[in-house]
Amino acid sequence: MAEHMRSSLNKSSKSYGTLVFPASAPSRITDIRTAEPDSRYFTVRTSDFPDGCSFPFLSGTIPALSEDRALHPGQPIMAIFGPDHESVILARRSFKVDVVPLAAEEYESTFAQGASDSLSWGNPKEDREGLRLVSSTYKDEFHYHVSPVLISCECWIDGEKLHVEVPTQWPANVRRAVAATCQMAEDAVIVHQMSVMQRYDEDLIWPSIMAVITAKACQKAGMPCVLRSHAYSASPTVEIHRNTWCAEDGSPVDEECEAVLHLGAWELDDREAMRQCLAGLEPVYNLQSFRAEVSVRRSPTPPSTFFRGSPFSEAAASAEIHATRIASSLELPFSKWKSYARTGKRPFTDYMPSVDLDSLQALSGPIIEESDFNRKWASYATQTDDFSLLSFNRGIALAEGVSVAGFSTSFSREHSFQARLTLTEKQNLTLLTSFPQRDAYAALMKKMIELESDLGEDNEAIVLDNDAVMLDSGPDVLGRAMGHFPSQLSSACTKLRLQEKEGNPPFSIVFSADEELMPCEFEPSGAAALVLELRMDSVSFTPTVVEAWLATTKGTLNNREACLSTMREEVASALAECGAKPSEDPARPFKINITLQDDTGHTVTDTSSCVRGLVKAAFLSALGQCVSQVGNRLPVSAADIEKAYRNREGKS
Amino acid sequence: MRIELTVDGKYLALSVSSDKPLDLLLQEDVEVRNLRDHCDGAMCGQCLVLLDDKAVFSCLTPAFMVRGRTITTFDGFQRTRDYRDIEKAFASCHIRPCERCLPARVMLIESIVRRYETGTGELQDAEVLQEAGLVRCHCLDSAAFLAVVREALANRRKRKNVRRTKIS
Ligand code: FES
Repeated sequence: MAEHMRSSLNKSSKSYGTLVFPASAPSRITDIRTAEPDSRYFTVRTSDFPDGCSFPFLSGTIPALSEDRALHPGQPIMAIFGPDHESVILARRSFKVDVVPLAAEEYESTFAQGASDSLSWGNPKEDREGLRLVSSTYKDEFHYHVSPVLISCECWIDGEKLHVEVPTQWPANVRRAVAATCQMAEDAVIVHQMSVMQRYDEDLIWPSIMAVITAKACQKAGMPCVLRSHAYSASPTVEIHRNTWCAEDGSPVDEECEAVLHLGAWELDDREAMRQCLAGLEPVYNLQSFRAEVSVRRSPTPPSTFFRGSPFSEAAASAEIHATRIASSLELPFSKWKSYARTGKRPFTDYMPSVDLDSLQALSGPIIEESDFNRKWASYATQTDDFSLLSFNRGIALAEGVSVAGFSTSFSREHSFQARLTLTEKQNLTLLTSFPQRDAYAALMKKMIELESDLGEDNEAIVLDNDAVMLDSGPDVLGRAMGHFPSQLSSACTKLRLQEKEGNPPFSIVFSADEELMPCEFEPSGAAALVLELRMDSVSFTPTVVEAWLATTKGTLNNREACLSTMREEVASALAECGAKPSEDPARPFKINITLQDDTGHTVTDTSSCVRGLVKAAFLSALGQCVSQVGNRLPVSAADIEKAYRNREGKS
Repeated sequence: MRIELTVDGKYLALSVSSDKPLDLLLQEDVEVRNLRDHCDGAMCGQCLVLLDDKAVFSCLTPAFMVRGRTITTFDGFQRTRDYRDIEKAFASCHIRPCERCLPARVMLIESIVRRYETGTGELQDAEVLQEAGLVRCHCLDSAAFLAVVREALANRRKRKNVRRTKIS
């Protein structure tokens, strides 16, 4: 329908818009000067929203526009609309925005007033007599992500209804935001969800901001409006400090860790980020006691509560890099150390059910062989400080971990997100959800329904086109659509079949999209192991990735090709975030070898968040083998490496 | 400015501003559906189309440069037999690029294949690897891209040679 509406509207009857941003942020906006606008142009400013332009987003609120201060880069001040895209871009130049940096007290009171919230879990051991301490600090600095493409949002009025067409992961929030800021009833706003290409939160908040502005422009001008803009988002800064007390033989006994998360200028749901972080902080080796504490601070960046698998991935990376530090403090290859420290079962905790550590060993065994890990590790270890005259700089590292997908149980109880399953008179099963539909996902859900409901040959499973769906299944972040949703769907299928025995269809049930009854916060969603080999370019000081070997589990229903493509993207994009470059050497171009193993315990899994963490951990460990003084800080720049080289030379 | 051009085999005469980027022209004036992105010169590579037989960033190609030229976009190309060579190559290498970059990747591969399809010249790996970076998406590693290009070229040569032999 959206397609039809769009093409039926003549291009000349639309207004095209763009956003105005401050030159720097965080800053106070002192003046906005405009040239006398031609009648073909108009602006949307905060004064156009009599009740304010902030809209609710989970537990917080976010302003769509702000004319007094900009708390982070990419916070829009106003929008300009005109007859076509190119001319509004030119017209934007006539707007001058004067800004001054935030005064020290204002900065202090906004960002630096200490932790805004904290969460802790576990008990430390009392007696540490005779134990050896190994400490490490991990820091992953935020990075901005400006979408490489212009996102387009279009609004038009048709009778009493306001139509919004935008790529979004959460259409219900777009509708709520537009209704709240444009003083409309929610059912008068129809959201047409265009396909979302980013798999993470880049399309989470930004579409709501764009929709609010475009809807207001449409109301103001009384004509269809199109707003185009890049989407701004940022990852959180994560700092983790760990202390582990080990026995004589190097096996860890007791561990304490502290994490600080900088989650951006606006609060979305800090508690959920902290819970995700706590789940990742738990290391995958046996300990007698463990304690973790996470705190949150505000920072001058876009909200980053749900940026990719953060902060679970960073927490898991810190655990794994710390494990390699313990192994190297004993001068053992990680593969040897883990063979005695990572056995049996990690016990059940408040955050995760028990994890079978032996199965992790089984997963990594073949890639250790295939990559010739032990031989290479021993060979590359000879480059360390004392042998630095050897003229090669290579590193190899191994990392293993378990993944989580979906929201925590506590979060699911606080927010209710739903989907609807209907058994029609013709015995077809239809699933209605507002999750963004990618072809592969819809096919997976169909397979899932067919498996769970033994449909006859003449009947089919239909995943409904989610255009203008009023049902709210929540945002597709943290692998939610692949996390709890399939198991919720499977129990809904069973319930529907039971209902069928009591009468004639049609029947319909609305079920929760998330698991609310689990005794612990998260459920593992598969496991992964990764070996990464690096070469240091000693001219450009760029770590060059030569090859990666990834072994990961996949649910029995997951599509093999789709999994391979997701994993490839996950590995390569995490490496790019770390500051690594893929090898372009024709003799050995960058290659990712992926082994997928069926996980018979799950029908659908998503190991993305774990794989991201493993890439970061393996990258830092391998880099540490190339240049030992480089430290656990991401992303790594050429300047960091040059400094580490100088330190090494100074030392030797 | 009035320009005449051929898009996906259709001859068109349009009246547009001379510096309008080709991708916007294709999206707004021709309604090409698989070109959704416009990164304003950030070199994302998602807007690749063939200008005559060469891959170009359509967002960096102004309208006046395409006067009288032939444009092939993914929309039109996916209906051709040539596309099957690339599709088969992806399948036989067990590689599937993400939905977002598939159109650009395919057009890039096609431009390389067209360069090599006649004759028996060896594929220049270094050149192909450099070109692989034109589409900035992480879903394919360099080795995988190279493998698909090789396979697609082999498919094309096989199909066209068979046809040529039959005709002669
Ligand atoms: S749209 Fe990004 S390079 Fe053209």
